[in-house]
This record gives sequence, C-alpha cells and structure tokens, in this order.
Amino acid sequence: MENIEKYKKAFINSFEVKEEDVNKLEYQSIPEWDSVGHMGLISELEEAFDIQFEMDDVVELGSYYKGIEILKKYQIEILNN
Amino acid sequence: METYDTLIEGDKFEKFSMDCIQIQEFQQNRYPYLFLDHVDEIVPGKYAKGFKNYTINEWFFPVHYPTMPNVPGLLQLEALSHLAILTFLTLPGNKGMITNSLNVNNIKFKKRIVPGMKFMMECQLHSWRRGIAKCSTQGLIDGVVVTSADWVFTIPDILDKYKPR
Repeated sequence: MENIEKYKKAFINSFEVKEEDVNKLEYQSIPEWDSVGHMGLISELEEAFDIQFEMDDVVELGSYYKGIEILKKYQIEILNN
Repeated sequence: METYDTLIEGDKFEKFSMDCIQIQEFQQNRYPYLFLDHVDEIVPGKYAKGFKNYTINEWFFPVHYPTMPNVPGLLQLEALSHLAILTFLTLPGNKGMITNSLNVNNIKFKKRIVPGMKFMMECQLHSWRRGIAKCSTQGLIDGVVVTSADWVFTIPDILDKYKPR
C-alpha cells in the first residue's frame, strides 16, 4: 500500500470520514477529532508507519496537511494528490 | 509530581495489596458507587486482582429484583472497571486522578450473581500510552469466569496535554 493510502486510511479509520473529505480535516473541525479522537489518530499513524511520535509532534499534528509535514521528520514521504 | 503518561520499557514496580481505605486514596469512586472491597495483588502497569463481596445489604438488591435479587450486569462491569483503573492510577504521579471509560468491548455475562457470592476480579493491562489504557478484565465466582470485558480508559487531564495546540 502506498504511503498516501496508509495516511488517508488512518484518518478514515479514526474519524469515519469519506476519503474525499480527509484533506479538509483539522483538529476540532469535526466532533470526532477531539482530544480522544486525536489519540486514536496518533495510534493509527504510529501503527501504519511503524513509528513513535515525539510529544512535540503529537501536539503539533493539528491538521491533515500538518501531519504530512511532520511525517517527513520520520523519513516518511507522503505524496499528496 | 509529574504524571506517569506512558509505560516505559524496563520500569519495574513492586507488587502490593490494598485495603478499602487505600483503594479510596488511589481512585475517587465512593459508596454507594464503589464496588471493590480489597485488592489482593497489584503490580502497577501490569495487572491487578481483587474482590467484591455481595451481601444482601447492597442498596440495589431490594430493587433488582424484589423477588430475585441479583447483581445488575452494568454494576458487574462497574466493579471490574474499579479494579482495572488501579493498574494505571498506581503508577507514580497518577494517584487519585479522575478517569473516563472510552470503550468497552467483548462484554459477556455467563452466570447470575446473587447475595452471598464473592466476586473475584482480575485485570491485565495491555498498554498505557499518553494517558490511554487498554486492558482486559474478568470476574469469577468459585473459580469460574462469569463476566468479562475489554476496556479502553483514559485520564482526561493527561490526554489534554497531548491535544493539538
């Protein structure tokens, strides 16, 4: 599975959103992305990419696009389309 | 004291037991909504074993039910949760913090529990990361599993530290 697919799937699994809506997502933009949902997303991403986020990155990951930027620090390139 | 947010590999804690007074120091449920009498054995971050004795004096028996008193299933789950949360509330810095249940799965009730029975409980903590606990619990009567459930708990005050700024 391509990184972009894994990445989108983490959002879809965490928040039960449609694939076409994931790139609009920001923290608290939908009821499902609250503090609890955020931890679910972080777990999904860590599992999908076999990484462990540092605390600063956990609190910085506040949107779909910010996540792509943060994952670069972990040598994970998400080619968004 | 800082809270203990994530289990660190290599951290080891001593096994101990708790009486009903110590139980109330570590968690905030109180009569008539505390369903744990004693913790026989607990290793913070790993597991706990304890029990609740159900006597005819329990407040819910006269209403559940007048002609056939038995422990409501949801209160059996509540009892299991009171033991379970101690597996992470006993970690350094977490004592007495408020907890929330986030998810309960695989709930099974296999036998009616009636006055006079001793409800033995066991909890295995599978993970504790950034204020979220995943664990499995079971309740036993005379050595036979009668209730079981898998849980996700959190300490909201810890969770808040990790939400996006």
